[in-house]
Amino acid sequence: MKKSLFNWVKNSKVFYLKDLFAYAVAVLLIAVLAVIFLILPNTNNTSGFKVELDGKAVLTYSFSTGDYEVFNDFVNFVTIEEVDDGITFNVKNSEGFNKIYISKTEKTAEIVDSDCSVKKDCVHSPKIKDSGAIVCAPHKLKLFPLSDNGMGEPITG
Amino acid sequence: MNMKTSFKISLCGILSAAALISFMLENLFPPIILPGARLGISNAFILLSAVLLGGKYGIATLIIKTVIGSIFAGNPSAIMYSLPAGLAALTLELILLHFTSVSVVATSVLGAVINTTVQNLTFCLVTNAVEYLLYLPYLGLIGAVGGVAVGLIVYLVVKKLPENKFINQ
Repeated sequence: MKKSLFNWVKNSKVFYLKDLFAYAVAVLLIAVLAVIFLILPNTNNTSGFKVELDGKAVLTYSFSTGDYEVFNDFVNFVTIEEVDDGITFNVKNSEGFNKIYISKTEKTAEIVDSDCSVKKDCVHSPKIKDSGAIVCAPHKLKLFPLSDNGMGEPITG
Repeated sequence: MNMKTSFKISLCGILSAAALISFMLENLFPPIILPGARLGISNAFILLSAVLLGGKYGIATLIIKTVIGSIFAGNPSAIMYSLPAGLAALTLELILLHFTSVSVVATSVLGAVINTTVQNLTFCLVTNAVEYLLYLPYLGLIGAVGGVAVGLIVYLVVKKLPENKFINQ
């Protein structure tokens, strides 16, 4: 064990041959994650999208029927606005609001506005299509695609 | 309390404040490509605190930055997944720095990848959003780039600092 990290770093070089092992471990870890989460999962074309608040289903939207369903507990918390090529759901509860836009033509979904936090990660998240999810952690809201199997279907518990 | 301890606590406070400020400033910018993706420049002050003052001061800086930073950013729930990730990464970095002769830059890269991985796995566990794991490889790559930046900052700052008998001895 080194007595002084300061002295060691001060007298160290920016690169040692042993660094290659550390870089190799980092690359290997990213590669393993890519294989597990990008290559192995089977994703189907999405049949629609679902929104959950704290694990409870709020609404679903189906591309095949073009219908949406707002579940009973949340009828008073959701306002809907239909536009030419999509539909907007404004989900509002005691935590705040999230404005969700689903494009009927592109078959994508995104959160376009929220009052969740300074960072607003959910608003900056890329649109989702057949896989992935958009999570608004402060509001405990999750938007994800519906499909028959694969990563699109959430594991709930 | 002797002068050495009071000096260390003061410097730890300054580094914690710097980490907090850089964390808040970074939050003002949109994430890089993906949600949660940031270079994590505030981690430079945490690693600097650990190198200059010792592991326990580094951990103190990490806790102060994570807890207060998450509250200031309006997302206290982030503590649940940021703190375990930060502790895992810093522990690994301290082990590598103390017991191996791997450079501080490589140490920082490995720490950043571990931080990203643990943070996202914990986030998915807490929010029950397994779909988010699809972003993990990309976030790992962005984290590695941030790790290079953080490692280089710490390396260059320590090189420029004068010898000080109160520092990490």
